[in-house]
Amino acid sequence: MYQKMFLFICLSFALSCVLFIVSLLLASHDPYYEKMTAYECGFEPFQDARNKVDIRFYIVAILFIIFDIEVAFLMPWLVNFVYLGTQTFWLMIFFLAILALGFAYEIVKGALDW
Amino acid sequence: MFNLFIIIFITSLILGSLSLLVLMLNTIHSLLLLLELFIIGSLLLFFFKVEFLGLIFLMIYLGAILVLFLFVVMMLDIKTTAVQNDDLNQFIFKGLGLFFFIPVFVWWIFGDVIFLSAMWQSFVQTAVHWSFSLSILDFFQLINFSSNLEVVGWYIFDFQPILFLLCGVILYIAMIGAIVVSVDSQMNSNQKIQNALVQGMRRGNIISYMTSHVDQRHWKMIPKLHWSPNIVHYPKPKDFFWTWLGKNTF
Repeated sequence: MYQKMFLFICLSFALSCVLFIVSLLLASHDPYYEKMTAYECGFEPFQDARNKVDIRFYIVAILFIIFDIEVAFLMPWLVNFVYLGTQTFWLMIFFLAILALGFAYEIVKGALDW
Repeated sequence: MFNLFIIIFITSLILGSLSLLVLMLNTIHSLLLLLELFIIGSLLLFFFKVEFLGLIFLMIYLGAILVLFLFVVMMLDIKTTAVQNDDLNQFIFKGLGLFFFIPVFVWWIFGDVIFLSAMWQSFVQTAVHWSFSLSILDFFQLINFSSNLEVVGWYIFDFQPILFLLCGVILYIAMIGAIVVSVDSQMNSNQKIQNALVQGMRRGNIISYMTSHVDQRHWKMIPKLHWSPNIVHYPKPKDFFWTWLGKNTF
């Protein structure tokens, strides 16, 4: 069942490798200083192109991980919680309540308010 | 034979990308090799017919943890490691560390014959009810039609629910920790918020305007004597809550 998928992935990877290597070998390479450096309207670059990144983006990424993992735990439960009884149902509700508590803390503290 | 080819191919990919990951000078190239390692791990899990775990590896490792690594490279000034001319030091710290991984892979390939045959079973015999062998593994798979998703669900909710609750507590602690470390409450509390709901419900009567609590600096036009930064006013969810109760927030 997965052999064909694996073959497909191998073929697509091989195709992208072929495209990359053909361009590496057959295209003309003539690097010189003006071509390889950054363009700043003719001037030499004043400073680094990166500027300061606020930590709020990292907080968004961390909170995304946490709720992503919560959804990943929700998936196997959705498939067979009907067959597993009331204890597992309330277990999952308790898990969601723990994470809802953390979410309430996050709202009150204003971590996602920009 | 195909089985052996697959094992050698995957092992060489892992070893090669691991060694390159440590030895690469550019940080972004190291991140790309980490991505390759995560994909190989997910592929291995597919080989062992635990498809749910393979996809979860893709979702969480690639989609979230690698993004965090990328954020680290973005936020800090990490571009290239400095080229060191001390060859002996480089050999000790980078080269010798890689040698500790080799016994693991040697054990994996040549150590356990049962391990090898299970991998053969799971990779070659895909549709079990079409095969004609009579080993015990095939018989179990003839009567067991549940997918990996259902089995994982049974295991973490019915068999060992304490593990699942511990994961919930770990996620909770991670959330609280991230917020405590990074949120600067001073910066958030000094902002003055304009609330459009309150402003729209304000009556046009000058007497009611004068008797309500208005900051004198607004209607007397007293100039500001100290510099203050231009802060953009956005209402926050808690302000909607307080205005519903009838309390002003400015």
